[in-house]
Amino acid sequence: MADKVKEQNDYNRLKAKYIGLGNADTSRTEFLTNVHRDTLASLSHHQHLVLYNSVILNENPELYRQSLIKKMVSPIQKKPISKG
Amino acid sequence: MPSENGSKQTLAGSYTIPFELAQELRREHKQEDSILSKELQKDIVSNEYQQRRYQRAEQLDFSKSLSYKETMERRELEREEQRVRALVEEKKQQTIGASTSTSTSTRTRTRKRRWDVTPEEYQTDTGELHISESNKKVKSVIGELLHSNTKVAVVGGIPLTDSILDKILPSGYVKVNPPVGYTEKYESIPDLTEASIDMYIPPSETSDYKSAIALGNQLPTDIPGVKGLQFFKEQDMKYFGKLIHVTEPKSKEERKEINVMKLILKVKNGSQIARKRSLRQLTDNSRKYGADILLGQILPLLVEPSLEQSERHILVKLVGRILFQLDELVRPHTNKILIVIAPLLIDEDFTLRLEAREIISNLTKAAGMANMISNIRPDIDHTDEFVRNISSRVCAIVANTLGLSAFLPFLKAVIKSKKNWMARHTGIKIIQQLCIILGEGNGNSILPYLSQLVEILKPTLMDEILSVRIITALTLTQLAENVKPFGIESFETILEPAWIGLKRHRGKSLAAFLKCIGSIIPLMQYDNTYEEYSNYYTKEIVIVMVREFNSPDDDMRKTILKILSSLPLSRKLIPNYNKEIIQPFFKSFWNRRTASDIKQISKLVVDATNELAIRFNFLDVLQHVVYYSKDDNEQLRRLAVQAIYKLTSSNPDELLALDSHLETNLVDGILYAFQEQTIHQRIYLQAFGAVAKALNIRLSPHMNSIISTILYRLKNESAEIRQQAADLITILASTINQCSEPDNGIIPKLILILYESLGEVYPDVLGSIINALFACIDTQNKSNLYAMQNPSVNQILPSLTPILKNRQEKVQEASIKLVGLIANKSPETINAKEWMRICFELLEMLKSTKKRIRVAANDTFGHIAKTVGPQDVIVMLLNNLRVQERQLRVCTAVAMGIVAETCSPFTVLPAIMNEYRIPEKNVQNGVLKALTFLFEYLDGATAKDYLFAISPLLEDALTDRDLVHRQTAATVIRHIALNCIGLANEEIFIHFLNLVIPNIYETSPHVIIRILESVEAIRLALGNGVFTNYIWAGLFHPAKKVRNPYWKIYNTAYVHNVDALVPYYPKIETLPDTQDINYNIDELDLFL
Repeated sequence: MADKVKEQNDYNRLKAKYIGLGNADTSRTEFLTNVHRDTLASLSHHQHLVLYNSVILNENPELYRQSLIKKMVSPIQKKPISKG
Repeated sequence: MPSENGSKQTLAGSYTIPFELAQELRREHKQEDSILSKELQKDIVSNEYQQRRYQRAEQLDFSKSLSYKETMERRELEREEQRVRALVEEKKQQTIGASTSTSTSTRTRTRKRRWDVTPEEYQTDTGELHISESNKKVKSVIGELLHSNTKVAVVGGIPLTDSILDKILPSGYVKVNPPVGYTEKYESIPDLTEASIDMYIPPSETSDYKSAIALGNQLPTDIPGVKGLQFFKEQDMKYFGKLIHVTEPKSKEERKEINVMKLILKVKNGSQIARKRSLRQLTDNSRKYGADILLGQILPLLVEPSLEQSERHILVKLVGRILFQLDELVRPHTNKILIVIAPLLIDEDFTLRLEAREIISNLTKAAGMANMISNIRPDIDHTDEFVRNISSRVCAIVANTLGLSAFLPFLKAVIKSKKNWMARHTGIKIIQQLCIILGEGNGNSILPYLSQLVEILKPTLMDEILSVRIITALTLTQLAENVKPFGIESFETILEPAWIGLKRHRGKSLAAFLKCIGSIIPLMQYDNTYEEYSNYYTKEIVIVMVREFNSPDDDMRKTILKILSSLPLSRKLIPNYNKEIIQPFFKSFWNRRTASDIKQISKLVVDATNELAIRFNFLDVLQHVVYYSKDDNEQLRRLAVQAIYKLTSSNPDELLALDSHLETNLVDGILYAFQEQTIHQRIYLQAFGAVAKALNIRLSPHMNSIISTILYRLKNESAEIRQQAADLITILASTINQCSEPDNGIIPKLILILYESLGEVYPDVLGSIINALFACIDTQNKSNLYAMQNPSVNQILPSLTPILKNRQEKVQEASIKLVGLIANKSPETINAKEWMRICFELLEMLKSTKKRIRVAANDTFGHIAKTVGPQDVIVMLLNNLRVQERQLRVCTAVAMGIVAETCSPFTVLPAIMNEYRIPEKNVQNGVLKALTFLFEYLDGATAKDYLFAISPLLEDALTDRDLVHRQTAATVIRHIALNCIGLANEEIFIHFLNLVIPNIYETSPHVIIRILESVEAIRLALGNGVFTNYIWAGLFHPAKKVRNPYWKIYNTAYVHNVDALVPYYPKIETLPDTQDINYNIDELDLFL
């Protein structure tokens, strides 16, 4: 009993720190959103990856980095109405 | 002009403060009621202060609850009452004063006004005054009785107070003082306050216990429907009497209540099992029973004065658990819970205080800020100091729980309150308590609000009420200590008012202001821009402190000593330091009075002396101290020895500049103090050790006198002195060895003498002698030991064997260590058979209850195994695995681990693994346990060679039906994996992971923890890439039971290394049920 309460408390504390944690009730969308956010965060915070990608896209690295961070607000979006 | 106060007129100028000012100061001091820590301590000891919580119990009526407005009105009334009472009191004082003196002062004043007042007016004026005065008096007699908590006997509706009795009884009666040691029982006297309001109270449900007592005077041992009770007390009847003679519960509610009562009774008085079970039942069903019934039963119980410590503890625990379950349902009862739980915040029992704090914190979370504040608000300016003290503590907890930002507006409002100084006082105290809760040096949560807090406190530093000023100064001190080393910018604004306060106050209040400034100055060192401030204030405060050195007040002395050791003093700052600080310091603190004072002060004196020595002139101060080590008074000598220990141990380098004269004095002083001691304390030995360590080879001229003293005392008839002498040898052995020439041989002589004393009768002394022997032998190198003749090592060891059988723990530990040392240093002098005999003795030692002995024994096993080879030792240990006792098996397993470590694994591993084939649970577990320790001690480079060798054994263990097998095997794997990160190839770990991962569904707490740990370790050894492939499938499994553990594993991986996880996230482009959403991450598809 007390263990469960403690476990729950521990989980809550960690969850406040690491948003990507989950439990059995975590939904698929939530998980995938976190996956996207983590990926974008990782891309934008590794300097060399930013440089590499910005060279490909021919953008300013800093602007590109900012665009990645902005994208983290809502990483999963509906498909644009199909091109073809 | 005649002076108003009628004091003697002199033409000479007055050299003291004016009379009026003195009067006022005195009055202020009288008014001061903030509880100082010392007084509080005293009260806690005598427990009177805490007893007051039972007097508040009357408010705990569950049938009616007052609204906020009503409460506030009542408080207002109480305050008004107190004010009137104070006025009446003052008037009385004045009339008494007037009747004794000639009372010219009033007359002169009236005469002055005469010119525009008609005689009639004057008459009516004074008359009115009299009438209103008498009115007030009449009102206040009743009012006083009504609202003060004093309880008097009531006969026929007339309260029998002293004044009424005087009227009723004829003259000639004298009031007899109660005998010494008589304490009034509040319960026995009828409560006037209640009786006068509603004359007759119909018996409530709980009060029909009287009839129960009348019916059958013997206490029931068995209560229908309640089993597993350990006892039933008379007081319990009051609360649980209903259970005994209830016929049958009528309504549903009543049935519930009876049920709850039964459970609570079981929790309170039941045996351990019954208690646990009902505790769980209550918490699980608490929402079903409802807050009303539960709290209505528990809270009155908690305020029962006869409750025992353990009962209170369990009930408090129950309240905590129920609160957690009920959550927002407790809101209506916040006030009642506070009344009951809050007084526990000042309980003498530390754990109870912590529990109470926890409960109130939980209550705050459940009830919310607004609710809490509206419940505490009426108590903040309560007339009773006890209530205010408690409510400040509660507020501090609320602020701590909800964060200061939410609480700050309320706090501001309270401290700025103009109406009432008590509110201000409480408000400031809240900050102080908050700091105390956070603890010294933990000011992170305060720091953002520091300047606001200081700003609030600034005006109260100049408050008109003395106690408010004092508490402000103390709070600022606490704040400064909390936020150290930050925040000097915020404190800058209050430096000036605080300094003015410092100049204006005397006595106790001066101590508070000194503390305040003294805690702020150290903060200045951390910011270079404040150097000038720091220098100025340090210089000035030193002058004030030196002036107060002679103060007899303990509080002041403590304050000064504490500040002295934290100030940034330096020779440059006070060039004339010797005359200005050091001499007055030694004059007023280094005397017999301080030495015989409480321990705390003498400790502070030692610290301050050390600090002064470091800051000014080390040798000079040392010289002063050494002088006192030859004092006639033993306590002062001990204080000097303490100071010498502190000085020499914390700055041994300073002693390099010691001249030979002071050196002689120092050693002489210590030796003198050592010889003259009557109460034997460790500090003498420690000081000797510190001096010997600092002087080292320079001690050699004094060695002769030291050793002769030791030897002389070693033959003393008092056991204590012998023991201390032996202990001194232990401490000095290495220095003696350094000071003596190699051929001189003091140490061998000492060894001989100690060897001859092994027949000692007193076990404590024997233990010390063996320890000394250990220290002496330890100083000798191998060849010396081998050549040692009288006694030779193979004489010493056999004489130790019988001593090993000694039951005393100190002797056991010492002798095991000595055996270990011999096994380590000169094993070849003893033959193998003797060693095996000792091994058998050592096995017995593993049974010892003291961990240190078991550790020593296990170490010694390692040494012996190295000497005689592991084969025999390991066989003996393996046989020991079959015994019943768990502790013995565990220790044997540890010993095997150590033997394997010292003699490399391949010598013992085959034998251990072979033992696993015995189909017996204990043996197999023991083997696994031994492997656990073995692989814990081995480093990865060695361990990786044995991975394939032991994997079949682990496979078997991990597929065993027995839980403990799997648990222990998982631990083995964990140790291996952690040691072999980056060393071994991964396939073996994949194999292990395949075997471990089905176990993650275990529920037993011990097992699941070990399993998860080993999974985690394997993840580290394997890397996230391979490992996460095992997880993804489980995260969204249809069964919740399956999802749970997988998420747990995922969470640990996520917390430990999120960034490394990113490359291995599953790549999902679209999902079949949501075609229109794009899950692809385009950025990952870029390539050049």
